[in-house]
Amino acid sequence: MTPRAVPSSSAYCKERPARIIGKNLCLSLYQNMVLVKEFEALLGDRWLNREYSRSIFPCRGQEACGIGVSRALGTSDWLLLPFRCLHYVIGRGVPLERVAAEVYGLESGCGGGEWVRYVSPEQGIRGYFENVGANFSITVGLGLASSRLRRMNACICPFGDGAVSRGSFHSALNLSKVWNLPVLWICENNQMSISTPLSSLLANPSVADFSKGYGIPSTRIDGNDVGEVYCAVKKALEWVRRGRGPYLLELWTYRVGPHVIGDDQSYQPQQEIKLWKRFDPIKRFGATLMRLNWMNADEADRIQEENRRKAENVLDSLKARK
Amino acid sequence: MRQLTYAQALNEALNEEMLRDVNVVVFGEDVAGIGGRNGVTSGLLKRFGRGRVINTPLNEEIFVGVGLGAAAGGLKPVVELLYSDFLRIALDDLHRASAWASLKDSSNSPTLLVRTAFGGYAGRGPEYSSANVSELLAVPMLRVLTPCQPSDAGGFLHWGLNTPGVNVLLEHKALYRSIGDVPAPGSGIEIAPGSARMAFEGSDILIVAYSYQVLLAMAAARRLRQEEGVSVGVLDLRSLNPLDWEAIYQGAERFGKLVLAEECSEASGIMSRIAAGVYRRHPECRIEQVNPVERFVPFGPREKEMLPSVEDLMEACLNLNRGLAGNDQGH
Repeated sequence: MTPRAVPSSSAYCKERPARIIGKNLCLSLYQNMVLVKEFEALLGDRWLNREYSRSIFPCRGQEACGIGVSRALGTSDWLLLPFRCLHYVIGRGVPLERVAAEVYGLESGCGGGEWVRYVSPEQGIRGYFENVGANFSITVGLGLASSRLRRMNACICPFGDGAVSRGSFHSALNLSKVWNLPVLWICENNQMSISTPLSSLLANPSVADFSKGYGIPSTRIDGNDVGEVYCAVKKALEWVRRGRGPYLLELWTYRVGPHVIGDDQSYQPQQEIKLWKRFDPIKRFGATLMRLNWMNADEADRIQEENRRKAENVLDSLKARK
Repeated sequence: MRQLTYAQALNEALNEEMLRDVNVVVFGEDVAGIGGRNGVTSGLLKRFGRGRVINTPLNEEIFVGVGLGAAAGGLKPVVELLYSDFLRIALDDLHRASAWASLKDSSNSPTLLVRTAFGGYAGRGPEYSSANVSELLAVPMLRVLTPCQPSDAGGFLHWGLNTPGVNVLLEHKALYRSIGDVPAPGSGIEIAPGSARMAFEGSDILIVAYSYQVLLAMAAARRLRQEEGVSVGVLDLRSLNPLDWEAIYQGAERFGKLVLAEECSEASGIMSRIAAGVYRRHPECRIEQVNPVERFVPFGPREKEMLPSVEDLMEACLNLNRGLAGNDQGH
């Protein structure tokens, strides 16, 4: 079995990005990650009780990727989301009621309930497709429009390592560079494509390397460090918005949770899951905040309780409506 | 009214649209410097510049998606896929684009025009002569436009760029140099798909066809009138979605004898579906169908043997008159 690279700083996130971001925003990022985790955990329970029938693809273990990226974007930036996206949706500020309503297939949901789509034009989420690799070409198109209409915004396309095996990834990356488009490609490399490990998918496990082949500058970072993700995205956006062409960020993370709610993960090596649970993004960032004296253990508990209750209230009110 | 070729009518329509709206952009393979392999985009680069007339790499697998994103982002894209055979490569994106355009929550209704050179009769061989339409009609809500007159070609281009949704304009490659009357720009004449037209008047038998086949049908009708004294009408469907079912039913009722002719095999065309529709409404109407057998279009003179010819259409009409049962495998 190929050894999987692990982030360098073990139990803590880097302090420098956290200091650059500042206490208030750090606490906010932490809260967002906790909310995502609690919300998805409750969704898991409610799915077992058959309260809704939709497939939910939880991002357990990857919360820092979605929150770090979505919080770093500007109000005019455009996002196209893949199926594992609740951490982006919540990070972008879509009201939890609308997200939950969409999960439950109600008309008040952000996608209108016709299909289930986590879109929200007000927050710049222009589209959502579950088909892996569907968003690559559309992102290039949005980039073309941005560039032509001089919007000075960035078009962001998060995707997983599985999507990198799609032909459209390569075509779209190449074209975004040839046309010099303001596109930020974000690979959330969680090393699993449902049950297929990274080593079976890609000849080169580093997606950042692929990007270099297309002449697109890239950085590979610790995707379980929300501060580092946030700062890296901010920096990449400067590049992209200044018309210097596309950029690719590879967020190195691991899918600790199931592919879809209901999946028993029996195919995933248990030692790997155990190892990566030590690098849980919420635990690590919390530990860092405590080390910086920006938060103590009681506050952490309180934050967890608050967000769990918030998610519970939203879901309960929906259950009543259904 | 002026006499223009099919390609010139398309070119003129593109010029007008690009002049009218600065957000219209054209992209595809070789559309810029050489004005497209069929000359439809000739002169556009010089007039509107590299930012709006863009040569692409060979990426049909993403063109339509790029067009969708561009439309969602506020542009009005004209996507050229050189041959309709390449629409197969783009089918995945076509499905998604059509889905996106149909969803109520789309923050704007994207308008996407996809243009391509369709069909055979031009000696291009098996890989570049596709006349398949069923794979396109299988995409829900995708509009499929099949003009045969230059005026319709130009008119549909205007329509396709200004009607929300995904509009596929199938320009027949054997028609690019055909000549017809085209209304002058600014004449205010609105040309829209959805209604069929009687391309040739007759009273005994009606040939229903679209695209290049209409010209063959008209030639067959002329010869039948001269040589056999049979009065044959020709109905040009003009578009396959929207399809003018009313005109087809009226034809069935009025004539009682229909010849349904198209360039592609039964399985890949629309005529079998039309035959079924006519049968349900007018079971008394006699139908003869003309399709090539399922085979790839060969290179060279064998192409003419395989694809429907004027003689095949005449034979079909005479069979109807002789009361012979229709050969449902075509010829």
